[in-house]
Amino acid sequence: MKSSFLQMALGIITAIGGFLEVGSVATAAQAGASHRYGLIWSIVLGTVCLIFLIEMSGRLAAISRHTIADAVRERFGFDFAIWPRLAELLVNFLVLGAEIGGICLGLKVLTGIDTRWWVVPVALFLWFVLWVGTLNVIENSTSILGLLTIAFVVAAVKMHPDWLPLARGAVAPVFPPRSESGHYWFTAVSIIGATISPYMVYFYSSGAVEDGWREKDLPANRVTAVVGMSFGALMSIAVLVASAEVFHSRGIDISRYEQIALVLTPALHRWGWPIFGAALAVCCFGAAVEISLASAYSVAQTFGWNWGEDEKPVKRARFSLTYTILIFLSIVPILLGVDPLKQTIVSMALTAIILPLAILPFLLLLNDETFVGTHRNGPIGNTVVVITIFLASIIALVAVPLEIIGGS
Amino acid sequence: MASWDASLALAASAWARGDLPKHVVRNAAEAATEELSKEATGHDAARALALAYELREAAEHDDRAAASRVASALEKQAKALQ
Amino acid sequence: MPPSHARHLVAEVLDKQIVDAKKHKLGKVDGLVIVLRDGKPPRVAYIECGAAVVARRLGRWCERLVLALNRRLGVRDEPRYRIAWSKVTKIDINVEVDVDEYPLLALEEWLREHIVGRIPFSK
Repeated sequence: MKSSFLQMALGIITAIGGFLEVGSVATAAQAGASHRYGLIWSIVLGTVCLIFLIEMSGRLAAISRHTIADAVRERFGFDFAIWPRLAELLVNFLVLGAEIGGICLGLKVLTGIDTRWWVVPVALFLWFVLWVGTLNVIENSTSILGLLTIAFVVAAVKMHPDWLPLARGAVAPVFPPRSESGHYWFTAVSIIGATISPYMVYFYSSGAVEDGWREKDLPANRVTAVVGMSFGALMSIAVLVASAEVFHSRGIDISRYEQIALVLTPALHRWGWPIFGAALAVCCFGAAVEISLASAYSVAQTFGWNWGEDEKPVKRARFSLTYTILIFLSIVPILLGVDPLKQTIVSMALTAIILPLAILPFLLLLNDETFVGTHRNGPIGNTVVVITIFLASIIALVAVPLEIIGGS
Repeated sequence: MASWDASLALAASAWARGDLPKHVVRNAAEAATEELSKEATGHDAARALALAYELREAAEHDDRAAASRVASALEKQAKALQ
Repeated sequence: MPPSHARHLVAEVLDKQIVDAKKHKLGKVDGLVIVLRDGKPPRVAYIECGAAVVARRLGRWCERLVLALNRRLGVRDEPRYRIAWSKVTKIDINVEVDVDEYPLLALEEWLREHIVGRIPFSK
């Protein structure tokens, strides 16, 4: 059993390295370029909600010793549980495709070799790492490499942003002119969807159960949730601010990744492009690992199969096949020519739409004493989560069709 | 479209300074060409497409002076459109 | 062996994880077979487990689909298993059963033999 401190440190590093992925980079870049600091509040709101969710996920694991998927089936029955699972699998399929696309884009920036040549090798490599690797080694490597994202913070600070407007944008929406309203709110919910990735919450829950968390781990859980997610959010905000400084001032709106690739260059000069390419590839790889496993965990836990990354695939045949199938299915859209940036933005918005379905059952469990005993949710946690997910979902349901009609 | 003028100007001047490798500026020019061909028509679009092409040529031949010229031309155009 | 009065058991046992004495996961309690007796409260006779059982809960059409798929693949006789209630040893967070053979893991075995085992580096 790891010591509490080490566990916390690992959790926090995982959160920093794992927070940024293709969705948060794309949405933050668009937000900064089109609306300057006016959308920082959505990163903050998403993060606050995520902190509550991660803490709840750890608490559920520690007290009930159930993972989320497992507990949802038990409490609500299979007939209900299948719906959130199906929605989640559909969204994860799209997000995983986007992440693999992100890895390929990072590699394209680094090498000049076009993304379509990278798709199959990257998918194979991802599959291979999961097939033969153990969870700790994979997580720790991607987390350490993910610290590269600190470069975004360095770049953002080096560009001397206006701190006052920045702070204003962090606390409240800065309403844009009417003509840009649709795009503003669409980007806002995409950011919230990118921040509150349900797969992170589910993944955390499986890890906590596999590590055998108990009541004594609750304080460490709380610290990991708050500190880890906050530091991660700092990375997202850094991408937004850097984009605001580089793109907004020049009147550049982001519609292609080739533009985002330039974001670190003004601040970091010769180091800008390789760090961007490497950081993007590593972060998306970490996210791809998490999504693949989280999806396989969800399915396995719903059907009561043996699950666990650390065992050899022959001992976990159904579980291993689940992520294998998912990985190779997810690359189909990209191979068929779907634009990775568009797929990214769409899957983030879709995530926002299904948030209530994915999160509400989980929330109910955290208020059910048969699962968490005396450790039920407080009113603040419940309120923040409910308001955020319903707001996000409703806005997304309005903004997404508008964006499609407007032709993004 | 002013957006793409400015994006290319950014890429061009960065490459002229030596901050970017050839393939990144080439990718930016290719992306610009694709996007501009899709959405825009008229004089401004034609000029932008021509400049994008010039930039690609400059990158292929390691002509940084040409890239700087393209960058200034693009910046002027971007400002005019905004 | 825990008591078998049906009423509370449906809520308490259904959809719980089934494990063996060594805590290996065998599946979920997908269904219960309840016996009705004259003048006495209904009793749980069997725990049911399997793809066909779970499919039935979504609808007859789903069950038929699963059975047809199953026949096509030739995985096993029928994806529906019964564990006698007498075999249930404990009910807490899981439902622990005392079962010798693992017909419930037939799909896992089949996949291991025919697919996963054939992929390199799986062992």
